Amino acid sequence: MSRAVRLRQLRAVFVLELRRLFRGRDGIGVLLFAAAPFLLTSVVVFVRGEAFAAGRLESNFASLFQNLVLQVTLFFGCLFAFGNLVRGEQMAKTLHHLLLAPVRREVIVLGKYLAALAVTSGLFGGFSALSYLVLLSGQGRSAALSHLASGGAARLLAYVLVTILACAGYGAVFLVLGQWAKSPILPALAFWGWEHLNFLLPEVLKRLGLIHYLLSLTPVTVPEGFLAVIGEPVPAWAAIPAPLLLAGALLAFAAWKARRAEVDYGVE
Amino acid sequence: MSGALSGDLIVFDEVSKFYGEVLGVDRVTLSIPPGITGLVGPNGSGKTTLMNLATGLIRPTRGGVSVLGLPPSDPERLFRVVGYCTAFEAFPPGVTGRAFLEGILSLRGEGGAVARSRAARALERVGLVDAAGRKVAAYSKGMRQRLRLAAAIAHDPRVLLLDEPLNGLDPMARAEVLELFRALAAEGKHVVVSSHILHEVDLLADRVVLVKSGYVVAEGEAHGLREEVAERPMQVLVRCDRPGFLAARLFEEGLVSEVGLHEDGLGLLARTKTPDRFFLALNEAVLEGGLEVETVTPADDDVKAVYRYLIEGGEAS
Repeated sequence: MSRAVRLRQLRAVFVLELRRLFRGRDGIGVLLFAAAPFLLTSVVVFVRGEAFAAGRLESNFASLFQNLVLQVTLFFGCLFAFGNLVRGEQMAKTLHHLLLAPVRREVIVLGKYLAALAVTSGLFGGFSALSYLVLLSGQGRSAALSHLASGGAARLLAYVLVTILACAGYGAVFLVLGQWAKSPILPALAFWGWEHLNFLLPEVLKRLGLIHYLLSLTPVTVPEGFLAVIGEPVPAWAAIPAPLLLAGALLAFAAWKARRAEVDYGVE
Repeated sequence: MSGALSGDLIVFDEVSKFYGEVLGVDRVTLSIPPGITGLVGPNGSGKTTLMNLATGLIRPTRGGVSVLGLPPSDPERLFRVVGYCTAFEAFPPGVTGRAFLEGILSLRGEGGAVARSRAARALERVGLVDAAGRKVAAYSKGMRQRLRLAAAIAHDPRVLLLDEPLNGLDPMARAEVLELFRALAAEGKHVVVSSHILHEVDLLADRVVLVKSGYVVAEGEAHGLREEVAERPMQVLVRCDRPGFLAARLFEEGLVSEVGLHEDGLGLLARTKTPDRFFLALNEAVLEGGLEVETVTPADDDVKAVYRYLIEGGEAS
């Protein structure tokens, strides 16, 4: 089969998965998780009624992004989107429609993963950017533009990059969990605990948590509390490829698992 | 079996499938040539397991399967030549019949125009053109069955596996679909039809394979089996708005030995020894009397009785 045909098949799987995500409950769940920090920020800004000082704005957003977005809403939003890529179709008894087409199962897994990555990156990246802009909005147009021009835009881009890397890494983990576990919730909660307590771990163990690499890339550092074990941030040349390498390895595993997977919904 | 020998056959070679401790099928050896083959057995006998094995949805615990020389583990090549109409009823949420079909066909990587053209032709062949723009969720059971069939035949496969394809179809649609199967077989294709109703397949198939409790208990030309069961009465359940009229008509033509009307006045259970003529007369009565028919189902679920009759020489119930 030619590369061009496989690429068209990949695009077809991608499009079908996008439609499935937007038509189903999974998409609504992801949307709610992604929009929550933005809604919270909007309410805070509206209730407060006055602009944040420039320095305070950055630290407030950094805190919101690291503690709420990265560690809660994005994590569980990705669980919704990626955990159900295969498992959701198995439960809905629709997986066979894909598996009865002349498509390699690796292509199906990759197409589904890319669709979920596009949706989660778009929603979490977009709403994170909107939250930042809402915080900035109280400063007036010229001050806001000046803030963006003097490093704000670069920091905003960095946050969006971290969001995409987080979706890629967590997404791959949840894709595999969705294939491997009958209910991915419990292992996902265990993983969340591991990620959440990363700040308490010694340096060597910190490096086993995805969050460590992601936090190393955030442009503003937020104090992690008096119990935190302070570790050296990972340099960008290592922190950027780390989540991608993890995602690549897990995708290879997911493809291998998909090739061996059986579809039996219990008919007969 | 060598590739050359198995190149035109669907081959099961000593195939066993266990679901944990539970037997799916055991030591099945079959070679299915082109033409219509009926796979008959009661629910849970292993028919769907055999079809799922042939299409790679499940893998054998032992033995090997090939379809026209292709292994089921190679979906890229296998599903260029195989179409499988499953018994699984679910469709993706929110899709129309046409969108579903075009989506499935787009997976073949042939481009949108080809997918649209193939989808349109398949919808036409199964008589679903008018409903193609409606959401599948609003389809009747028979329409969903026809849509599954359209998905299986849309790419013009050489091998067609059909799991209980007549379920939920009204008499007219049933006749049309049977005609479609005959036309596909006449083109030299393999058409494998599973059913738990022997008579249903008997009307259609060149060969019949009887499956029971995971084992192939008999196989051969349908003609021989047909003669053996010719005298065996068959029960048919008809749900319609005027069962009294229908019963009178069938009695008048001497096609039923016994008819029981349902208490709700919306159905009857008829017993006939001439099913071919019975179904013909039923269609005529429906058309002439303008009956609203909800379902027509052969009620001889007790295939065990047929097995006793065919294999053990016992009396049919």
